[in-house]
Amino acid sequence: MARRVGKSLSEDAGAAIEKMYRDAGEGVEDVVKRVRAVDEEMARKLLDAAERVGREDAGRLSRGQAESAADSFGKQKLRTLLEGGKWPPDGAPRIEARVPHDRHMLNRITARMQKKGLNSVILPHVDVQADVDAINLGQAERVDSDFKINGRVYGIESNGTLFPRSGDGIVQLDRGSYWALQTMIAHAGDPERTAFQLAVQGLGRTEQDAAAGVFELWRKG
Amino acid sequence: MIWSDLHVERPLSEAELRAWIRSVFAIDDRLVAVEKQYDYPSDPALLASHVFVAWDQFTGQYPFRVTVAVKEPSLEHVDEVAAIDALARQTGARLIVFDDSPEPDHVLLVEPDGTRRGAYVDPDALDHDSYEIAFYEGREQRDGEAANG
Repeated sequence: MARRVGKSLSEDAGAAIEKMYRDAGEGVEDVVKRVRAVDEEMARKLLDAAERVGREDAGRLSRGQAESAADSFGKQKLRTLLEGGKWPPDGAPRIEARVPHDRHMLNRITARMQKKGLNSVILPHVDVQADVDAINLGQAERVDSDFKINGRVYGIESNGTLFPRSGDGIVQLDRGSYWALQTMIAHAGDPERTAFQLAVQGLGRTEQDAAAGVFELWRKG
Repeated sequence: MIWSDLHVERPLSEAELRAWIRSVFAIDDRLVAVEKQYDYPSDPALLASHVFVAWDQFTGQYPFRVTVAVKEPSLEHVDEVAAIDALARQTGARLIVFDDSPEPDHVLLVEPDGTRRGAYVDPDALDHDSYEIAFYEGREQRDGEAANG
């Protein structure tokens, strides 16, 4: 009798232990599944965030450039971070570089923007975002405190905003010529109005000629 | 000749601007045109002006921008630096002038007594056409000297 009871208890204990391991195993599998789901969700959110970061400056860029930013730079950065790589990479600025102020982008210049002694303007064909991404990926050549990439040289402000200095697709306009360009843009399509305002501002042939070529590029988009 | 844009800490009236120009150039008031940037009235008198002053209003600590165009060649000898100091003195207002150095956020701050000192404007505000002094030259560490690591 005692032996039967002992056997029964032993069998029950064995079943209980087996059940416990089975349950535990299923629990571990559940945990693993949940962790994987959370990881996937987190990765998806990170990708979304990276794409949003990539589009932060979209207002200053064409749709294609902004999408390129999201697809290339954001994902490259995310991949580097997820793989435990170094960020920012060697040669990149410590504060992430950002696209230059609109006053430097020909297709974004307005009448109210600051005129300086010398104004560098980036022509519309330049893929500025590609330059910015390359700088942030450490691919630009360092020239003192500047960055040289794709034949263009950029300086950087303390907050990471780049400004173009010189190179392919960058034109320099003096203060008067930049003001003339702003006036031409402000009154595009109204040559009479433009001429009157330029005359009021005292902007002569030299400034108008310098601005006219750039204005033509603006008109062509 | 176009002078550097000035940013004044408070809006100036047309009368203040005219008084300043008259004193600096010693010309008749009829030869001075003052207009809000950017849509000037079609008044032929504007074309005859010898000095044209355009003003505009922004945000920040120095929201009032003044642009001066010296249109009459015989007036181009007038010293721009002295004229800017005179504006600060006459109006009792501080103003900043972008000094065209390679650093886009570097400015000269002009006090009402004519004292000048270098300063840096907040680059984030600058990105939004707002003009705020971030710190004075040599007084504080720049936050983002760091941008260039």
